[in-house]
Order: sequence, then C-alpha cells, then structure tokens
Amino acid sequence: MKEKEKKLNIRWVSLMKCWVLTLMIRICWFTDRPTTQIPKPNVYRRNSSFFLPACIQVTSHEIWLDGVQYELFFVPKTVSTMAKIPFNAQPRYLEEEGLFVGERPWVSNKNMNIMENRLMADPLQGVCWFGGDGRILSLPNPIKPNPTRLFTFPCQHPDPDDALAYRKVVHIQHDERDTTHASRPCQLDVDVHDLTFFHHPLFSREHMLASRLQQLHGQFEARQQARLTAFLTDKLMHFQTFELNDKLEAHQHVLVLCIVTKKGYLVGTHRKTRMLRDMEEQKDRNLLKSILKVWKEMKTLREFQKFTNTSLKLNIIRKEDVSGNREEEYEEGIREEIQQMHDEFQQEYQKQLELFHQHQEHWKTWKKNKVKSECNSDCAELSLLSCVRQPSPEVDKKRFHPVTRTVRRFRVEQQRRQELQRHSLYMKLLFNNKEVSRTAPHILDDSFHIHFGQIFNVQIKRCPESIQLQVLDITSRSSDSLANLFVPIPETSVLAGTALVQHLEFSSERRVTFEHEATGSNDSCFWRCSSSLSSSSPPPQFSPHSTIRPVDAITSIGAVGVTDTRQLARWIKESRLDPNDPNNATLIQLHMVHKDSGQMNTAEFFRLEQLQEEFDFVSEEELLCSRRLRLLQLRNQEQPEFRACRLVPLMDREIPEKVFQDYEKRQNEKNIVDIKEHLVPYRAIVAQYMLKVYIIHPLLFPSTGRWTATGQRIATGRCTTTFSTIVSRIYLLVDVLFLSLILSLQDLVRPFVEVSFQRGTCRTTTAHGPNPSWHEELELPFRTLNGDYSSTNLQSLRDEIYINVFDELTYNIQEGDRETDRETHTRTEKIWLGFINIPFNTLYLQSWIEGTFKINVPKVLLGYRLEQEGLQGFWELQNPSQASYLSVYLTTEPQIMPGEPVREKYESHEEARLLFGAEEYSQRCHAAFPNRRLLSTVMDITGQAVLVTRYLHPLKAPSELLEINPGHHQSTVELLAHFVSLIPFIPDSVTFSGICDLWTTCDQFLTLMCGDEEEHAVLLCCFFLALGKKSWLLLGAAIPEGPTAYVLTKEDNMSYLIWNASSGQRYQQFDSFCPLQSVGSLVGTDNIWFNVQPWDSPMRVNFDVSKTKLWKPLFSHRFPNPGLGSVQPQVLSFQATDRSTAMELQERIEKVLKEKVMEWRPLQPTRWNRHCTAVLRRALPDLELGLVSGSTKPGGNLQHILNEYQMCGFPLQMPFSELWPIVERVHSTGVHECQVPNVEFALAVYVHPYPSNVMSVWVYIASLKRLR
Amino acid sequence: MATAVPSASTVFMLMISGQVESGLFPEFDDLYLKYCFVFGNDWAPTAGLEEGISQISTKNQGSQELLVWNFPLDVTFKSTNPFGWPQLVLSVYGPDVFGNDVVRGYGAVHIPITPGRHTRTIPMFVPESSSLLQRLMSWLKGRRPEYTDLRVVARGEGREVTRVRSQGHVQVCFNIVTKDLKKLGYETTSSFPHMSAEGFGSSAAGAASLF
Repeated sequence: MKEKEKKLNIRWVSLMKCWVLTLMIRICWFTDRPTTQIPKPNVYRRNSSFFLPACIQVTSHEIWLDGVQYELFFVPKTVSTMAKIPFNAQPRYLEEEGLFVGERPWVSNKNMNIMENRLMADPLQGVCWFGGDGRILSLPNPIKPNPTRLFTFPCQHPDPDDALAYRKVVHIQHDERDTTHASRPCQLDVDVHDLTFFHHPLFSREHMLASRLQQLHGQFEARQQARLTAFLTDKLMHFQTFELNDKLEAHQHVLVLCIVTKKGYLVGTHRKTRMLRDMEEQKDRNLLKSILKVWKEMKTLREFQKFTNTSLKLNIIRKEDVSGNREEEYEEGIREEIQQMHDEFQQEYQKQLELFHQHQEHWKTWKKNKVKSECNSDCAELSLLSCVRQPSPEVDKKRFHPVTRTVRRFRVEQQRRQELQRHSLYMKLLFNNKEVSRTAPHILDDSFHIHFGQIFNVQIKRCPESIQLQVLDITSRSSDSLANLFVPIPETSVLAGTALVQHLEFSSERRVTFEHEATGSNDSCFWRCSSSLSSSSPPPQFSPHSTIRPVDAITSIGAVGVTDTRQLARWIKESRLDPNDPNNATLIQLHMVHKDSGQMNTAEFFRLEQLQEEFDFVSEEELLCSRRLRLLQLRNQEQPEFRACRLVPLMDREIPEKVFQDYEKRQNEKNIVDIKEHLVPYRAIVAQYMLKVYIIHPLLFPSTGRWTATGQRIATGRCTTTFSTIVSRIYLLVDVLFLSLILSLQDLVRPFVEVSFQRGTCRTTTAHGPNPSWHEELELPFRTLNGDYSSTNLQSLRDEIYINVFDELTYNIQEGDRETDRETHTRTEKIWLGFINIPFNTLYLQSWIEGTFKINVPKVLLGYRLEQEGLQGFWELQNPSQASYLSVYLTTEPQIMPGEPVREKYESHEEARLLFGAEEYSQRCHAAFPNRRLLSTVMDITGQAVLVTRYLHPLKAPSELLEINPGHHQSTVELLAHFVSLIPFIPDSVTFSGICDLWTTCDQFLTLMCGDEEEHAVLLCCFFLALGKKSWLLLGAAIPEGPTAYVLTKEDNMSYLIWNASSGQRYQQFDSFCPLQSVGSLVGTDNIWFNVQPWDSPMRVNFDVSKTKLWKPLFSHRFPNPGLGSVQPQVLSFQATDRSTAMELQERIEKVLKEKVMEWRPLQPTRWNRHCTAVLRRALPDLELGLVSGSTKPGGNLQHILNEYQMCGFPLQMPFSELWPIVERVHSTGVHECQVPNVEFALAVYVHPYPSNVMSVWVYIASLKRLR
Repeated sequence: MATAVPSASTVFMLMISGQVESGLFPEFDDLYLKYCFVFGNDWAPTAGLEEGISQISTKNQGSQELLVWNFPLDVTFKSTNPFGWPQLVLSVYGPDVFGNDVVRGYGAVHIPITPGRHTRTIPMFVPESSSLLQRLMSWLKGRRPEYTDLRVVARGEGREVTRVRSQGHVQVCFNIVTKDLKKLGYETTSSFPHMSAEGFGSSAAGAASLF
C-alpha cells in the first residue's frame, strides 16, 4: 500500500502544474478508500476523526499545495453538528435511545459536505433539513442487499390467439388459499402408517397393564434421551472445577473484589443446580420404580390367569460400569458434596464471626450458630444418603413373550378373543370433508396394533381446508366411526422427502361394557390411539402464489421445518437481530414469550373461539350505542312498545332519543308502585301484580301448531288471524236497529243514538217518539297501539264501546219576536238518557254481537218520568223489569277472527277416576249438544285442573252488609249482588293473556280485585248458599258476553231468578229481555247437571234438576260423588275499608274530573256552581243508600235549584277499578259539550266504601242554565 | 314510531313488475291462482296490489300441457331494512272430482334482489292428510288440508307439524328496479363478475327440498 501511495505521489509531482486536477484526485482518493474498507457505515460515522491519521500522512508537496489552495478555493468543510441542530439543543441519537433507525443510503462524504454547506447557507430554513442527530434527514435505504428478479416460466406452447385475447382486469379480494389459477395440480401425500391403541374396550386386564408399561417405558426412554440428569451432573462438575480454579486464582491475584461478587452468584447457582439435579434423579428413580411395579403386577396377573395375552416382556439389564469403580465414584461424589456444604457453612461461620467481632454482646448467638452448623452438616449427609445416587439399572424391553394361543378353559377370555376377531378397522381419508379414499380393513389382533402403511396420493388444486382421518370399526353387524382425527395441514415447503412422521392421538368418549373378560370403557378411561402419519406437501410452485401473511413467526422467516425451538432461540440470540426492526417483530415476540416461560416450548395454549371478534356483526358497544340496532333488537324481543314498530329508519339520526323513554321508564319502574296513577296504594300493588301475571303467562303455554280434530285445518302459531298483514284500517260497524224507551218528556222525545269508541263518535239521525226504528249503520275507525293487529294485542285491548242514547232538544234562542217569521235561531242540545257499554274484548272474542240490550238509565233523570201507565197488558208480561231497550248489531270490518281456544289437558291433583269420568261425561254431553256450555274441570290459578263443583261452598258475606237490612231477606240478597258487581270486571283474556280461562277462588278474587263473569258468579253463588238459598252456578251463553256464568236461585214461591253477578242485575225466568240466551249446564255444590232438554232458552227450560231426563248429572248412582272437598277457604275474611281512604279518593276523583272537563272545553270558560255541587254531593249518599236499602227516593232537595236553573244532569254509578274508566264514562255522557254561553256546571263525587276495599263510585254531573 | 315517516333519502324502493306466466300441473285442470306478498316489518307497499286472484285457466287439448295465466304483478315497496325481503307466495286452486274447490299447490319465492329480468320456476306443494283414513275422508268430503294462514308458506315456523307432497311448478318472471339501495350501503350485485346473485331466489323456494 505504501508503494502504491508513493507511485501516486510521484505522479502528482509530475503533474504539479495542473494542480487543480491533482486536488480533485486527492480528495476522491481519500474519501473513496475508507468506504471500501469499512463495511459498516456506523463505524465511520462515529469515528469521524478517522480521516485524521490519513491526512497527517500527506507529503511535503501537498503542504504548500494546501496553503495555496485554501487561499484560492472554497472547499466545503464538514459543518459542525452543533450548527446543524437548533440553537441551544443537544444532539440526539435516536439509535442510542433504542429506537429503530434504518440503514441510511450511502452518500459520499464530500457530497454530504457540499449539500450540508448549501443548506446551511440559508440561515432561516437551513436547520429544518437536519434531524436531531445533526445529519440530513433521510429515509432508510430502500435497496435490497441481494438483487432479485421475477421468475418467468418459459411458455411451452405460445399460442398466438391466447396472447391476443382481451381479459378484463378483475380486482379480487384475494382469497389466501385460493390457488385455482395455479397452472398445475399439486399432490398431497398422506401416509397412514400405523395405529396403536392405548386403550380399547376389548382390552383385557393384561392389555391395560401392558399399555401402561409401554407408556411408562416411553417416558423413561424420553428421559434417557433428554439426559437431563447427566447434563445437570456435568454442570455441577464444571462448577466444582471452576471453584477450584477460583481458589487458585484468588491466591495468585490481588483482585479479590470482583471474584467475591462472582463467587456469591456462583454459589447460588451451584446450589440451585444441585437441587435440580437431585429432583430429576428422584423423578428417574420413581419412574423406574413404577415400571418395575407394573411389570411385577403383570407377572402376577399372568401367573394368576394362567395365560398370556400380550407379548410384552421387560428385561432389566444391570450394566456394569465401564469407567471403573462406580461405587467409589459415588462415594467420591458424596464426599465432595459434604465438602461443599461444609465450605458453605464455613463461610457462614466466617460471616457470623465477623458479626461477632462487631457486636461483642452477641457472642452467645455466635456460639449457638456454630453448634448448629455442625449439626447441619450431619443432616446433609443423612439427606444425601437418602438421595438416589445409586447405580441405576437400565431397562430394555423386548416383545418376545409367548402368547397363549388356546384359552379354552377360560370362557370369558375366549369370548373376548372371539369378539376381538369380529372387529376390524379401517381408515377413511376425508379431504375438505369429502371422502377421498379408505384403507383396506385390518382385523384387530391381540397386540392392538395395526400397520396400514398406505400412502394416499391426492391431486389437489387448492390448498386444503381440512384433512381428516376417520377411524372406523366394522363388526359383523355394524360399522361405526370411532374417532375423527384432524391432520394438521402441512406447510407448503414440507416436501415428501423432508416430511416427518407425526403422531396423532385421539380419543373416543363412547362407553362400552361387556359381559366377558374385556374391561370395557367407562368414564375414567377413554380410548387413545396413536396413528403415525406422514404428510407431504405439494410441489414448491405451490407457494409463489400464496399471499399468506406470516401468521406464525417461525413460518414467516421461512424456517418451516424447525422443530427444535431451542436452537431457534439460540440462533435468535446469536444472530443479534435488530429488535427494533419491524420485520423481526414476530420473531422477537416469540423469543420474548419463550424467555418468559423459561424454555422455548411450542405453544401449550390455544385460543377459544379465535376469530370470533372478526366474525361479530358489530362490536358490543356499537350494538348498544346504535339506536337503530337497539330498536330492532327490542322489536325482536317483542317488547310491547316496539312490537308493532314498522319501517325502522335506516339512519340513527332519524330515530329520536325519546323513542326509548317509555320503555326505559317501564324498565326502571318495574318494581316501583305508582300510587298516583291508581289512587289507592293497595290497588296499585294489585295492578302491578296483574302486569306480572300478564308477562309470565304466555310462557306457560308455548305456541305450537296443532291439528284440530274436526276441520282438518292446519292452524299454526298463535297468530291465526285470517286477514293478511296488509290490512290498513279496521272499522267498527254498529247497526242500530230500534229502541224502546219508557221515558218521556212532557212533549215528544226525540232520541238518537251515539256510539263512542276510542274517543271517536258517530250518531244516528234523530227520531221521534219513544219507540223509534233506525236500521242505521254507523262506522267508527278502530285503532290499536302502534297499529298492531295481532291477536295477542287485540285480546288485551281494554277499550269499551259506549252506546249512548240521547234526547235532542231544540230551543228557539231568538231574542225578541221581531224577525220570527223570517229567521229562526235554534240551539240543539242533547240530553243523555242512558247507555250500554260493551267491552271491545267481548266483541273480539265473538266477532259479532247481536241482540237487544237493556239501557242503563241513571237513577235520577231530571225532567223525565217513567211511562208507567203505558205498560199494560202484553207489555207488562214482556217487560217485567220496566227498562228501556236498544237493539243493535255490532261487528268489525273486515271481520277479525279470534284465535281458536286452547283445549289442553292440564295436570291435576284430582283422582284419575274422577278426571276420566268427568272427561267422558263432558265428551258425551258435547257430542249431544255441541253448542251448550259445560265445564267439568277448570284451571285454577296454579294451572291445575280442578273439578268445578269444588268452587262452590257456602261462604259468609261480610257481616256489615248483612246487618244493614236484618229483616229484609230480599233486599239483603240484592245488596250482596250489588256488592259483588262492584268488584271490577276484567275479562280473563286481558288479565291472563291467552285464551285460556283461569278460575280464581273467592279469596284470590277479593285479593286481586278483578275477575270475569265466572269469579263474580262463583262469589255471589257462595254468598247465596251461605244465606241458605238454593242456588246454582249457571253456565250458558248470553249477550253480549257470549259464553258466561250466571247464578240461578230458587225463590220461595218456586220461581227462579237469574242473576248477572258482574252487573248485579236479576231477571225473572220469563223475562223476554233477559240477556241470557242459552242455558248449558248447572253447577251445584255436589254435582253438575247438563241440560239435555230440547230447548236451551231460559224461558223454556225446566230448572228442576232432579229430573234426570231433563238434566244429565255427572255424579249418579253408578258414579257417586266421593265427597269432594272445596278449594274455597272455610271463611272469607273481609277487612273493613277505611272511611278516610274513601274520602281522599273522592276528593282526588273530583279534582281529576273537574280538570278533565275543563280540558275538554278548551274554547269556552267552565264555571262551577258551588251551591249546586254541594247540593248534589249531599244527594249522592242518599242514592247509594237508596240502592242499599232498596227504596228509591229521588233527589227532592234539588227542587229549589230547579226553580232557578234549567238543570240537565244525572248521577252515574260504577265500581271503582282505575281512574280512566270513570273519566271515559263521564266523557261519553257528553255533558261537557254544552255550548250555551252562560252555562254552569256542577260535579260531585261520592265514594261509598264497602268491606275489602270494594268501592262504589258515584259521579253526579250536571249543566245548569239560568232560567230567565 | 309508526308516525315518524322517514324522509325520502333514507328509504330504498323496490319496484316489481312481471307476471305469473304459466304452471305445469300434469294431473289437474281448470286452475286459478292467488298471489300475495309476505314481507317483514320494515317494508311497506307504496303502490300496486299486493294480493290478487287470477282467472281460471284450462289446458290446451293438444300436446302442450301448460296452464297459462299471464297474470300481471306490479307492486312497489319501500323499506328501511333488507331483513324481511318480500316473498311472493302463490297458491293454486282448482276443482276436484266432485267440483269442490280444493288447493292444488302452495309455493313461495323471494323477489330477486338484483335489478333486471329474472325468471323463476317455483316448485309447488300441498299439505297432506296425516293418515289414510283422513285422506279418504277428505277426498270424499272435499275438505283437503290447507293452510289457514298463507304466511306459513313463506315462513319456517310451525311447519314441523305438517307433511306435504310436491305437485307441479309455476313459472314467474320478474322485472326488478331498485332505487337508493346502493346509496344506503347495501350491495346486491357481486363484485365477482362470474358470480351473479342467481342463487338467492331459486334456493329460497319453500319446497325446493321436496324434490
């Protein structure tokens, strides 16, 4: 090199005159040289002074040259780092901070200097070009170390046509495994080698032991191979030699300090290693022991059963130690160890000694310690002796034990072998769940080892999704699959030559038990088997197309076949991969994971439901946040608010926040009793309870499709409405036929009928006279909540249809008589005469109602009088109860069909004989008269079928009621009927959704405070029975209720009375306007009678139940009543209602009603006449009393008001359930609609308390017009 | 909720026009059909008839056994959710030996989801009596088993109690136009040109598994 320099220098001298050129050369030369020599850029970057020695070497020629040149030329010099970074900043080297900095592209130093100088020429902007380390910012070097070129396949048959064909570019979302466009099919080899059972149901006991022995031996061999003990022993040896050296060194050198610290560490590891070694040896020993134990067991078993099934034999070879006297070595070892321990204790002792010197007062402690340490050394020896360092025998195992061929003497064993011979096994290869091939069946022999040795070649086009092996067992009778093994899909780089045989284990959980000698398989043991399998992968061109991202760290670096992870770890450590390079991230992570776990193991865990998150529709939070998704979810759950929600908007923003308000409120207030709404806390609690019943109830009767026996029509699901979903509007049709009024004003009555439903009203034309005939059809729109016309919703509708009869009055309001002949100003007013209310539910369940109904006329109707004198002769006979009647026909358009009633059989506590008898009885009755109502068993509130007679039992009515009219039997009876009718009526289909009918007992009825006809009738009947009246429960059909229950009583004068318990009305048997249309059956306390007379109209029925020709009884001579007990309680307890509660309720109702009336009159002022209100309030208790005592006493106190005002008003009486029915009723009378300018109103409320929270509510509402 | 009418931009429209072309019922004659659409809660018909009854069609005496109805379908739906995509439910009726009007086939098909012209062949089926005696009785009385609710044909629930027999085919053609479907983020056409959306409608035919 020196020579070369000299040569060049000589050349420069010759070219002195053209020094410009020389200069250039010189710079090039110096800068070129280091880069060629130093491969790593960071080296020269760090030692920027490297150039210095080279520069010093310049010859004398250059010195003057330099001097000249510096004067004449500007040579860009290295800019100092401090100048390149912002003022006052310290240079930062990201690399030293541990951040990843890519390799910079190489730029010559001179060019760098030029560039830096140029950039620095701009004092303002220059600095921004430089990084924190004072170097020009640059991207990492994009150039790969090795040149690569895309490999192109030589085209074998270049077809000119193909080349020209235009094919549109298709953007394929690449399917990672899709290799359909691979030109050639690949081949997958699956080598099914052999199959060994570790357990099989046909194993004999000996087999079990043998397999156990084999497994233990396998473990033993594995341990031997791992040589962990030997490794640790070696390590210990090294420690010992090292320590020896140390001691020597410590003597030689003075540098004790560093050695002391090192030694402390060494001693620690030494001890740890020794412990580990001892532990491993213990394990070896135990394994050996258990092998010997199993072998011994096996030998005894063989001797005991006098035959052998397995060819397994254990040879124990005691190897003589080659290296010489092992015993001595062992002794030596022990001695060494004791020595070591002794040393350790000595050290301890030294330490303690020091301590002692420091603290003289602890001398006793020291002494004790010394004694202790000596003791300890004794212990160590003992423990070592117990340790396992003994010459270990080596185990070998050879399979040459003769198997007994004939086992005729042992029957069970013989059976087992015969069974075994019947079994043969074969394997199926399933590729992507399609069967590809199968092996030939092999008979299972006594060794439970099958050698298949079959290689399946599968030509595949795409990477397999699953490779599956199925182990099938064929016996003479059947073939069944034992297990499915999923073969791991080989890596693409594993070729037939390099593939390793893999062991797959499987198990089956089938239980097998045998009569004979075989052990069977039960819970504790399961089949296991190992099948060897070699799979070889498709040829290498498989991979170029695959775009599989590195899923596995090891695969990602291309080291597929790496099985020894420890080596990999070492390699990672040795190769000093840059931990900050993102390309190495996976590997480094793998390394870290394994470093934490101590060893490089293959993963021992797997992810449950991996990719689950990726497959989720949206994340959980999104599901909660999105209003649309929430709405859809709630609708799917059939929440009542959202059940009928249609066209859920697509965008979240279109759904208002308040949509969920009601729902959330309901959710929050589920258990909060809203007292305000219900006025009486007790009722509120009951209402809450009913709500819960409603919610739970549908679960009791899961909707199922059924065949109905008669019509062969298939009804499916619960919703059996026949009209399609497309029904947009439903109308309520009311056909008003004719009216017969027995009221009349002084002059002619001009009645008309107004039907109000859901606040919609519709009226007929005005007719003249008390008996008009209209035949008019009224049409009212019918709406449901959210437009939900499903049967469940319709059933639970509680709207009522009010049919009101009004009298139209026309006034002439002309002021003066001036223009009477030319103009007439009249005002029409309507005066409410009476009403009929029909729950919509009743209409829904019957789909139409037709009949003549008694109009509920208020007790006091000012200005009207009863047409007593008109009722004579025929009419008296026809109309004994002296009431007004209206004939109507109601239906819906289009007609709504209710769901078919469920006739299910329920569980029962009744005797089977009784149930059977009752069932047979009702079937026979039904066959004879299908339209007559009969119930033999009914369902109680717990869902149990109960004989209906059990519900009737004499129950004493509240004594308060009985004491009011002690002498008057008739009025007491009427009072009881009134009391029962005051309990709110709610149909079962509303309370207990679904069409089933639940019967509650009287105490439950009084607790729930609501029920339908049956409950009312049962309670009334029980009261009557207690009074000693002959009474029965009458099951039949009536208008408008349809199938219903009435009470029949036999009076003293041998006549019969029919009581409608839910309205408190009674009818004579021969009342032609009796709502009861058909008499089906009678229920007494001890029997049921079915009406077998040709007629069922109450007028034509003979109620003498003793005549079996007319009344077919359930219990007869042949089938006597076994003396059934009652489900009713012995005594009903009635709690007295607080008078103050009633008062409070009264005030609240009045307040609410007044507010409502004002609300209904938004345009006119509403004035309240206080005086009249007070009078009315005083009149109301009399009315209730009049009802109670049976005497009618019209409100005479009103006379002086009537002198002053023209008054139009009436008292309304109703049971109390909730507030809204009262409001509805008041609204339907239309008193508030009075348009007269100076009208005043009077409204009084009276609540009469009865026992058990039963309330009678009276509302007296009147409009007053001052008389001129 | 029902009151909130979404603005025009957030509903998509599906316009269906087409016709029930013909039917193949080799053993029966003088048949007529009823059609109706069954759709989910988020769908609403905006125009056209979603129910209809065709004329009675009689077979040609010659070789061709087809019953031709050529009954037009023309209905437009609007929707906010593709869930509950409309289905066309067809039921074919005709007289039996005694002149009773009995059902001759039920069938359902999803409206094709892609715009364009589609032809569908709907396999038809009828419910069967559960026993031989009932079959005889139903034949005599002329009261064959039938579905009270046509929606059963379009839905899965409740069918497990019925047994059906396959009976004939009906051919329907649809011309589909959609509006705003893509704008709202619903893709109905595949990005793969070789995979058209043919599979949707034909596989959804209720009785496909019966054949």
